[in-house]
Amino acid sequence: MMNNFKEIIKYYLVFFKIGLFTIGGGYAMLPIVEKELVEKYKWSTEEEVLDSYALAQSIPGVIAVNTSALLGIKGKGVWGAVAASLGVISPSIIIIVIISIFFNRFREITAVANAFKGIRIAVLALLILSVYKMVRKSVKDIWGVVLLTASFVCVLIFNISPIYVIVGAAIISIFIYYRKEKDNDPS
Amino acid sequence: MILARLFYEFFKIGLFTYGGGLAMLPLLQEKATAYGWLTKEQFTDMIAISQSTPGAIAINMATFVGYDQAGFLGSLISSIGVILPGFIIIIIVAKFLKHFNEKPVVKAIFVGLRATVIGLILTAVINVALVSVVNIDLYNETKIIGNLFDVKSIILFAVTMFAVIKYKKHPIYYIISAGIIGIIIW
Repeated sequence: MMNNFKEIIKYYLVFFKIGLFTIGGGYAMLPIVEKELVEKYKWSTEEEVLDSYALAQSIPGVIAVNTSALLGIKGKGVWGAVAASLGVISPSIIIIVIISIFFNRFREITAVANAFKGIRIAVLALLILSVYKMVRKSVKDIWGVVLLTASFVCVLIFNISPIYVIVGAAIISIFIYYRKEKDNDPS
Repeated sequence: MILARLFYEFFKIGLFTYGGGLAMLPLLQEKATAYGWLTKEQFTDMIAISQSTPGAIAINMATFVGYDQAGFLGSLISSIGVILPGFIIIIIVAKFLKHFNEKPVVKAIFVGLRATVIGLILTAVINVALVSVVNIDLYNETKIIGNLFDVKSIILFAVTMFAVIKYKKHPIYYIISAGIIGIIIW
């Protein structure tokens, strides 16, 4: 029991470190996960890490947290998943709370306000590049273009909640893609 | 009361976020506008800070809004709320559905959702554009088309866009550089 508790705490600490060294989310976490979990502690295999990362993307929510929870549950059951999830989000909470305390105090200063005028432009450029990369990776046929355009128009022009758009698109996607996926299914 | 709302709204956001941090933007934007959580400027600044600090972008954003609305407890409740749907599904998947992501119906949904989510993210990009290169507030006040665009902003955008495409460095480099240039030119 005591040993198990120690192991769970260790999971928390290792995933805390992973959260701390993942800047920018998603892909950025993989190298440090492999170094800590596969090489150093041998809690997971390389394959398990990649499988968890792939599965994490098919589950709603935060990919980095889902990956951590999946690796935690494989290693140490539900408590391992709790420890890994809380571990990976802890650095974010601590750092963002500290930044928030100062940010609201400093944003009135002219230099800070001007810095953020520049930063907002960088954010726009970075977002455009991310969207471009996502289009190249995920829009593979005319239906992809239709879904992308329709969801954009629904939210921007008709003010429909993104939640309804996602639910609607999920149902439509079954009609469009199920047969093809079924035919490709090896099992 | 505010804590219950934060938990409920972030739980919903977590449940409908597919494909990582940026996919959360349109959902968060809708709630932020509805409840007056963030202005468009704050929304954009929050993206910048979330991309250049450690941790998952979605958690950083949930923490940001939660702290702003209800202090430390708010940040905790919002972050837990956003990860809980995925967590519950993982427990179920791990117990009962070993090959969940290989099922044709799950694959079909995700092929479609990946494209859909891009359309949603684009609506958030439009809002970011409205507070960065387009000066919509000044235009609404004066109704002069010339006030819609600021030359320095356009040039900085063109240069940054070029650099972002050409050099493929980590976002943090562009965010810091653009901040320094902002202090110098304005």
